[in-house]
Amino acid sequence: MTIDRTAIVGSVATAIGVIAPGAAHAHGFGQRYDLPVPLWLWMSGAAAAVAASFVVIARVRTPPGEARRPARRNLLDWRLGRLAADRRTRAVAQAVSVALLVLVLAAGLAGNQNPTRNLAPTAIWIVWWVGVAYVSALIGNVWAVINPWAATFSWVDGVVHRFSGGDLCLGLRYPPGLGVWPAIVLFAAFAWVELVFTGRAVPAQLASIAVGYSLITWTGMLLFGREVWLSRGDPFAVAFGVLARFSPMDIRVTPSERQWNLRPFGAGLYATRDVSFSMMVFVLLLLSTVTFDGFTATPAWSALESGLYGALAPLGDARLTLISTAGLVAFPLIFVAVYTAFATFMAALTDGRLSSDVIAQRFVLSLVPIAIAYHLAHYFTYLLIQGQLMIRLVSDPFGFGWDLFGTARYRPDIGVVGARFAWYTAVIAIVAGHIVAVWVAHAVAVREFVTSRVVLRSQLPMLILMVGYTVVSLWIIAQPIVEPGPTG
Amino acid sequence: MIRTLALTVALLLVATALVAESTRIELTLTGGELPRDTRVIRVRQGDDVTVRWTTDRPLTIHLHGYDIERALTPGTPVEMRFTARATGRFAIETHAHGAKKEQTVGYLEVHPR
Repeated sequence: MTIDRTAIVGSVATAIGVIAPGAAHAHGFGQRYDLPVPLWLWMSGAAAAVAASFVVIARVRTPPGEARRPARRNLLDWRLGRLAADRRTRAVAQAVSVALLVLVLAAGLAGNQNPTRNLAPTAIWIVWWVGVAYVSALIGNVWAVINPWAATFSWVDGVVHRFSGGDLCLGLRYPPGLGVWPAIVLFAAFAWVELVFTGRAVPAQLASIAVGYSLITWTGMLLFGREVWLSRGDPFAVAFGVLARFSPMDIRVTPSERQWNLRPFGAGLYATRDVSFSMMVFVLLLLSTVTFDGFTATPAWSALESGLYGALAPLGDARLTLISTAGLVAFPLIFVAVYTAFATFMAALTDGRLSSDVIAQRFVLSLVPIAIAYHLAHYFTYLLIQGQLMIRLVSDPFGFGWDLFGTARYRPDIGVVGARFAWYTAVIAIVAGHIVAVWVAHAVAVREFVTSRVVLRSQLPMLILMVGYTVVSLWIIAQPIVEPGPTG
Repeated sequence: MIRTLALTVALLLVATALVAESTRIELTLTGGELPRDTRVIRVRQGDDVTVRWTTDRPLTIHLHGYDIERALTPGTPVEMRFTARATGRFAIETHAHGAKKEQTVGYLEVHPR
């Protein structure tokens, strides 16, 4: 029996006009098919986050001044752990990683320029940028091991050392006052390419940018030394390092002992006390670009953009780029301003022993779990659906019509997860991330403040900030995703 | 335990099959655009969907995700038929003939049952 039924139409998106004159692309590359999280679910998520915050604050009691020492388990006590940490295993992983880098660059520069038929855009935006971020946050700092730029530098360094006895590095002294500012500048440039630059999905342009990044990275390591550049100048080593502080794995190498420890999620975020001012700026930049990425896909941004697009008519074709760039500049500034305001609020409520600057730097890492959770929620279905492109790209990386493994004709299954599953995963991830964040902030407060009363008072502003941040994250995933319209 | 679970899943599948409906949607493009109130089309997962397109100018229409493309010419209605297997929000784009630009004219939302 056939029942004719006219579809129900009309929504918020149509009310403000789906078709902005040039609605922005969301994220570097690829389609997103997410259905917005329903209102009742995001309200429940927000309520759960608020309730959980109070439970954490009320139930977790550690005497102030006593640093919490999380439980650890050294994986090197086990044979499998030792095998995974073996020098040869690492050499193989690095060789594979370098080979993949060469393949991606070659495909990008010489291959078919259709973004979905070339390995480069999917490998860079989906597998590397989203995938490695997931692995860093949920498993451990894998990038520190497989970074192909660092590996190639070490190889050449080894060769130089063998033949001339000297070092490849020129041994310039890295100016201490520079902090991680080079990484901040490079990360901002990368964020611009990811979120604004229109050529980001064009294989040759993307590969050229990667070549430029390679030159910068090798030069940095050549001038200041591998470890110095990676920890202060390299945006990805620093970014993945920040995310990996959340992860349950921790590698420690001391002269006497090597440890590869399992620890609770988030424990690495309160392990170090010294977060420099520039590092705080880096963390806030990282968090704000993640939120900006989500925000550009909402109807609210679309409406703002089309409003500005009309108002700035005399500027012509450059308008879209200008508007997105302005947004990308504004978001980190807003994050820094709001966060600093809350740090001042905390300083005012506590005993005044710590200045607001010190408070801001010591607490900034506690926001990381909220960003990670939002990132997981935001990219979950995207990774599962767009990641499937790899199945056919491995058979034809250059888009020349090859079929190396018989998978070249594979079509991504868009029904791999249902909307309901995606919704619950997203909301549970965000609420869980929020709980870890509150817990980390509490642990930092216990370490930094002397009396229980001050610890409690310090957590009030933090709680307001975190609930606000989480609610914004939930709000974004409850928005209909606005897709790219005509560009220009 | 496993048997109960399997039975529940089977029952759910049968139930889904029974409530799945056939949905017919008429969409008319005027000047390459859809009327404001038909820019978001909502159907339920499992529905058999038929979209009947009419246009006043020649263009190609593309439903993302389900990846269905149809060339439209004025005066000849063209149908897209598919089972709404996967949930999600899928863009519908047009390519005007001769022009390279793509334009999002609306969205198909497939909601879970």
